[in-house]
Amino acid sequence: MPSRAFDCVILSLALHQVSRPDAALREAHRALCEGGRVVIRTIAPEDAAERVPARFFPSMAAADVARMPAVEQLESLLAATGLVVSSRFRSFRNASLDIDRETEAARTEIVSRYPFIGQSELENGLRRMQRAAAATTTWVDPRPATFIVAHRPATAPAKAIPSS
Amino acid sequence: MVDPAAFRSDQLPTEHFDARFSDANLRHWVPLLVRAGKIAPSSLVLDVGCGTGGFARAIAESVGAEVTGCDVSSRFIDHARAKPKSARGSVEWIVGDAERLRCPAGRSTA
Repeated sequence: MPSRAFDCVILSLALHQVSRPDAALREAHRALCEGGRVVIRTIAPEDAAERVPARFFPSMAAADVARMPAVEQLESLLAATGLVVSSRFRSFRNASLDIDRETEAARTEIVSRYPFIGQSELENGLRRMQRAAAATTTWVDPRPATFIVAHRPATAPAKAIPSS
Repeated sequence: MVDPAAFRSDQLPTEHFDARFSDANLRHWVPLLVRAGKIAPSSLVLDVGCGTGGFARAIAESVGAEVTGCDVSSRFIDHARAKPKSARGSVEWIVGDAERLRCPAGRSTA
């Protein structure tokens, strides 16, 4: 397969879902043109447990913290792939949440992806979520994500052999 | 050790997943992706793990970029394909594995 040249490769909440993130980054590197950028959007493990709904379901929070790669780990993988990290920043979504929608969404997430959460954790979590929502007029989830930006450097020209 | 495949988003119902691309989410995240990626009109962009393609489409429409969305889930890609074409730029959809991209439409370096 020939290499193709993209100006930008986006990996948004993708690298934690593959078993070989290093392989995915090698593919990103191969797909990029020289000078092209890769933008990774991820959730840092330290932020994962605080999100809605994970913050109300301890087993979900623990699983999310465990499955999200550390930002430093992603930066090491980028460097090992030959991609040069140029910046990193965190952005807060500050989403206004609706309790009915979040209740429905939490149930769907748990049934689909967190089947190890039992009935009592589910009910306790939903109750705590209801209380948190009722305690404020606007229920907001800060929901931060971390961006890591890197680029594929220009291939260094072959060094001239010094004449002796 | 957590198996990442056990939590893959393609286990979620399509409509539930697609809510990640609500208008409010797009308004917040898309300008950040565009700025971070220095995406300009006619930039070639590959969105790996695009899901139902909300970011890919919004990037094409907001700057006029040519975006390819790639996801391992054919169900999510079918959902992306079923939506109307982007008003600006272009979007193309492929089913593919992030670890073994079958290289999609891009500018050939050959």
